[in-house]
Amino acid sequence: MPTIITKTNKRYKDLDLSLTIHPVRKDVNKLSDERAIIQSIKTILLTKHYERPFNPDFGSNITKLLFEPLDPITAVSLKREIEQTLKNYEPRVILQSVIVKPDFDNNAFAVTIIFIMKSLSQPITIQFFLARDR
Amino acid sequence: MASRLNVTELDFDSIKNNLKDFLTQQSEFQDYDFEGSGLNVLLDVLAYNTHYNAYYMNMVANESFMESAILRNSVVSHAKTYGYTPRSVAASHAVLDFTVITDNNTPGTLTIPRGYKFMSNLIDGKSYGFVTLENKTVTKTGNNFVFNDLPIYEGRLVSYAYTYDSTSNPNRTFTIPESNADTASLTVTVQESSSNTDSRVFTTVQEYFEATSNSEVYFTQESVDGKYQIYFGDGIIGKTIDDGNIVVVSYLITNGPAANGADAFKATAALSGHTNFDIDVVLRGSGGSERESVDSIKFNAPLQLLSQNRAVTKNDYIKLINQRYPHFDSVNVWGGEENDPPVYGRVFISAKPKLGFEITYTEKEYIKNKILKPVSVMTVVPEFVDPDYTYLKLDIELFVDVTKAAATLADIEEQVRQYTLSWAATNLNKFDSYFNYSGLESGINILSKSILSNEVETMVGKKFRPDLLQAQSYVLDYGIELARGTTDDNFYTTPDFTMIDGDGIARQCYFEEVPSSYTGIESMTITNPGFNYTSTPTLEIVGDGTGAVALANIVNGKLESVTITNPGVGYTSAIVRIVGGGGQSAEVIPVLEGRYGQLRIVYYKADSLTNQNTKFVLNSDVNNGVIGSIDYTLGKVNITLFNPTNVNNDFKDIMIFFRPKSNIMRTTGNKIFVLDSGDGSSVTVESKLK
Repeated sequence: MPTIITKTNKRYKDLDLSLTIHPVRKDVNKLSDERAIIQSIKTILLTKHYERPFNPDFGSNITKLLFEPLDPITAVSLKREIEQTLKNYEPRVILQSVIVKPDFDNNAFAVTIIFIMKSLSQPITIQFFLARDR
Repeated sequence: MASRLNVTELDFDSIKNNLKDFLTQQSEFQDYDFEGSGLNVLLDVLAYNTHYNAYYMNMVANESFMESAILRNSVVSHAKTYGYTPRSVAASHAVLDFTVITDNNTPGTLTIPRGYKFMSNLIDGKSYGFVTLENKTVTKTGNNFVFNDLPIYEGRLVSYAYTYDSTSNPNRTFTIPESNADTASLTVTVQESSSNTDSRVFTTVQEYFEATSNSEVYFTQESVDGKYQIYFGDGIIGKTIDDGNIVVVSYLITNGPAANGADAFKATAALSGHTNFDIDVVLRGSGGSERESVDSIKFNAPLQLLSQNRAVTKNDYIKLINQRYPHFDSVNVWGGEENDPPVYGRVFISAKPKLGFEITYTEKEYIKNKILKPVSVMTVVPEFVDPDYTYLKLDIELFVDVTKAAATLADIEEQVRQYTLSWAATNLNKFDSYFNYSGLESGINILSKSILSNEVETMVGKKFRPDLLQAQSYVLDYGIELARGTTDDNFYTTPDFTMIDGDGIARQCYFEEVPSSYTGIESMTITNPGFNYTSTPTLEIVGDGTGAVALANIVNGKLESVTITNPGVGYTSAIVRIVGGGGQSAEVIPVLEGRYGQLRIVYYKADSLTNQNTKFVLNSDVNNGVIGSIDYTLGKVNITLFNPTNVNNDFKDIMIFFRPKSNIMRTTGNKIFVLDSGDGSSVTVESKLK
């Protein structure tokens, strides 16, 4: 009986910006779907305004906000900034929620972003820390 | 079909879009459209790099041609291939009559050394130092040493000495370290060596093919960084210099145009022990200018190549004078054959200085002998003619709706006045210009919404300075057709002057225009004498008047002359029919008497009974008081034996204004229309309210 090989149709395909090499193909790694989007979110949030040539609006203001006091007010500003930036520059996601909590012990903010990728129905969660590096 | 990558775009966004279009053909990476994707980052890098290179290549291409080059050093480099050296910053210069007063008349001489310093009055809060550039020696006259026409130049004299070394400087090039050095003041001397103090003066090269292997000349050029360089010949064209020679370069560091207008000077140091000085300013500080601009170089360099540094055509002269003597607002040149009567073999030059109205004798001689003579055709003699100024007086009437703008009526009127003056500064005040009054009117109309319409009334005036000691005759040449006076406002004269009447009483007098009231035929101009006339033809005068009779006089079958036996009355236009006589083609134009008018002098005296002012004609017993004639067609006024004892203004000038026949006026030769911004009455603005 012939077997039917199903292949999931990947919607989003991107280059891995860390430029790691695929161990077998010896080529640059590719990212697809949610991994591509997570990389994109990371790029958008960590790009400062005026960093991109000829596109000064691109990016977010969060690196500046990290120099504000570590308190709930800054956390609210960060949340708003992240929401707004993703709305503007990442059309592939529908944001479910953004949670920003000040983490006093680590002198950082804990950020959780929950979104739905437009082609899937399951929500995706990413968690990361935002801390000043200087 | 796979689309190709479009490579003609130059700007970042188009390049990036082209790359995205190209990527639509593959399915390996699909995220190129999203700004946050890694692929987009790569596209940014690629597009930026492409854009950067495109811009760079474009600049390189632009700078390769004189027309499109923007950077100064590119333009200067192109100019070099045309044999053109851009003009450096030029020092403002003044001319003084400088008198050194001593307490005795022991004969002797006094030398004013190069670099003797004067300080100017404050200009914009700053005083400038002026120096002499040459030693000048005079002998004593009476108690004083008098230096007449002493030229002084704004700036500071500096000297640099370079020891020449052929290994480190094989091109024999020396850079002047200051960018604001006036190259016209350069002196270059070469000393043999530090032990041998013999020195030779090198001069700037004038003619390349006259420079031989022994010519002691130097060349100048502008270097890449905008500073000037001098370099010496290679021993074939121009004498070369040897190792160990000491090159001493001395020049003026100047502030350019900043010191223009300096009109009072004081000496700063004792001169051979003398400290008592008297200084008269002959020419106030003028002629300072910035170094030649990029646009000016682009304009002049190709012209220099065309004219081959020769003064042959009219434009060669204008270009040479403007380039080497940048002190004029406007220069006009015409051949003597255009004069009336023609003067062959001469070229006439007229120039209006940037400051004031006249140029000095020294300046004229300098331009004639130093600038034009070396490059002009041998038999052609350049000659200066002072500009002939025709003053304009504009009376502007506005029709204003004040509700349409926030400004007050006085503001609007002042705005119109200022606009008119600036309009005149760009459109008039120069040679070969024309007065385009409709342009002025339409310019005024769009100044403010509240100006509904306006009317410009023009008067043209001549200025003359009468001799106050003896009776003299004067000719005022307006150069344009004048309107015959019918009412008082066609004629205007200012200021009043004093004259002695027949009873020996001083009267405050004015000129008055009396248009001739005769309306007959004054004379006939024969434009074609015709031929084959066997008997005297009848001349029939046809026009709107009556009674004119003229007789033809035929000699050898041609119309020789016309005698008017009755001028007739009431003619404003007429033609002449030639009837009979057997011949043909004779043509005659009648000249109406109304072409002429008279000038007389009037004064006002209070009536002894009513005490009201009544007008009297001065010396009315002699020739009805007529003192001059007006030719309206030629625009000439002759004043005969005019003898005022005083003119009642500071400058002792009298101005006589007429209304021109047409408001479209053109200047030729040495004539210039001037709207004198220093004279408050040159532009008057009146408003009518809606």
